Amino acid sequence: MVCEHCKKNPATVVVTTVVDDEKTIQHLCRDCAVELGIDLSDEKTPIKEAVAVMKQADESLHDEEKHDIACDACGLTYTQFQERYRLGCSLCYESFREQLVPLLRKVHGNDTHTGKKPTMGDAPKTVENPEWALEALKRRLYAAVEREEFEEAARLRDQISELGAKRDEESDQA
Amino acid sequence: MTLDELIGHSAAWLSASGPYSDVIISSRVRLARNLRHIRFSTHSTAEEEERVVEAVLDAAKSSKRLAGGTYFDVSVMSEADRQLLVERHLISPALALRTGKGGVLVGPREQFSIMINEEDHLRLQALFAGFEPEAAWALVNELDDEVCGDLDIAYDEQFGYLTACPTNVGTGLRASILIHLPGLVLVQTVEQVLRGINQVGLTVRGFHGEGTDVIGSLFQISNQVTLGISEAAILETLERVVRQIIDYEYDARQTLVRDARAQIEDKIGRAFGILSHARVLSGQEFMSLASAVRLGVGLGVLQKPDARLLNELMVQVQPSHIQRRVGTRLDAETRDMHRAELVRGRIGNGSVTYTE
Repeated sequence: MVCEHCKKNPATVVVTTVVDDEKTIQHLCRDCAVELGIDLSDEKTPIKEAVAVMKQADESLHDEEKHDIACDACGLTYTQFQERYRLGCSLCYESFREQLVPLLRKVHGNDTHTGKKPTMGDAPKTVENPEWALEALKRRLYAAVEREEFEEAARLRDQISELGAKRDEESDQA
Repeated sequence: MTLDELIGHSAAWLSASGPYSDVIISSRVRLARNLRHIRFSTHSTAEEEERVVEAVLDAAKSSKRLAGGTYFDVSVMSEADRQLLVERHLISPALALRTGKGGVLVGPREQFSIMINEEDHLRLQALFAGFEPEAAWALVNELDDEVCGDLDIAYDEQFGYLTACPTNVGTGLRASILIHLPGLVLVQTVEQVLRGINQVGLTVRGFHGEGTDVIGSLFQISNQVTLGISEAAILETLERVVRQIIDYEYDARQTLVRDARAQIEDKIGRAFGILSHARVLSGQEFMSLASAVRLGVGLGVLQKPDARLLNELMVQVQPSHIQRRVGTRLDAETRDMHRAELVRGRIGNGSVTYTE
């Protein structure tokens, strides 16, 4: 497209003016735009836009890093939760408590339950899922190694082999 | 009880009895519950699903209320049979679509039921005819004590009962009223009347629940907030608001009779005429005509058919129920013919009486 003003140079500037709800669009070349006294300081150039997009992407990346924590028990990450809006297990509420409180306030206008509680008279307590306990310990072990907390890591390693041995024993008996 | 026996009887909630039964079809209260240390049904493995079913069925054995009930294992049911349960409001469309282990425990006369492995491990519901949210809550609360008292239920001191979706956490309670508002629809104030109810933590849905259209002037009004408000307070708010809506509906009906008596009686009479004589009837058409006839019964313009018959038909004219009756899969067109025949048989021999 050529400049609507000089009808010579290629149009590189789009000027939108709104007068009394009436919108007009002009395609001009840079020289004519300056000549017509158009302020080009908040001009949107491809480079400026690209920088803005990159900045935004960078910020959201940091956001994600901040949120991408996983449930100790079932391994569901907070990002996975956000995709389907369904939690993985009851312990997710423990793992994501900090993130869930503001969310619940938004949804329910409140973050604390009032009302019925389980009776739990002589109900048999279910034992913790051994697979989960093992998984959680392993995750903590990796984290400890990464942080170079080797004493903690050794302690966790022993716990894992203990739990593993116990599980093997039980399955032998079964 | 077999599936045939189940559908051979009419559910208690269709009896059109109970308070305000000229406006309110039914009152439902459901509770969401989960077992600790097992992934929610949205994320569970086949082995975990099995464990949930076993634990719940085992706990249900000690329930006196469930003694006369039956378990329907949805995972071994055909698509058509699952749809039958959906049409009877015993399972949700979501449970019908599930591939894993799951099912529903149904109490006598379908007054209460427990879905197993919907998105939560347990979904207990009680369903009553008329405006009976308190009675429905009392029953489902008892059922919860009986069945979940023997289970290790996921509960958190801060968050209350833990659920797969954070919108249900806290009490896990959803109370909903199925209400017929033809008066407000006709005087075109229904939107205005229902607009403000979000502000008090309530919401409006269509006949088939979340995300469905309003058909036959039927609305479901239910609580949206489940956390930070007790069961009693949820029910109180719902009751208070619904009572107001009932008053508005009565006012609208009076206005209609006062200002447009002939037109309203004409609309009712025509609807009755079509239902009594049609040879082809779509589900949608049935619902909107039945709505006018129901209004006619409520206003005393018609003496037959009674609201109970309309309620029963509302369930029986749905696709899977018709196919079950006929005994074969039908295309939509043939189904519409069978629907017309069924309705004609039940309604056609009624007589019309106009009040002065």
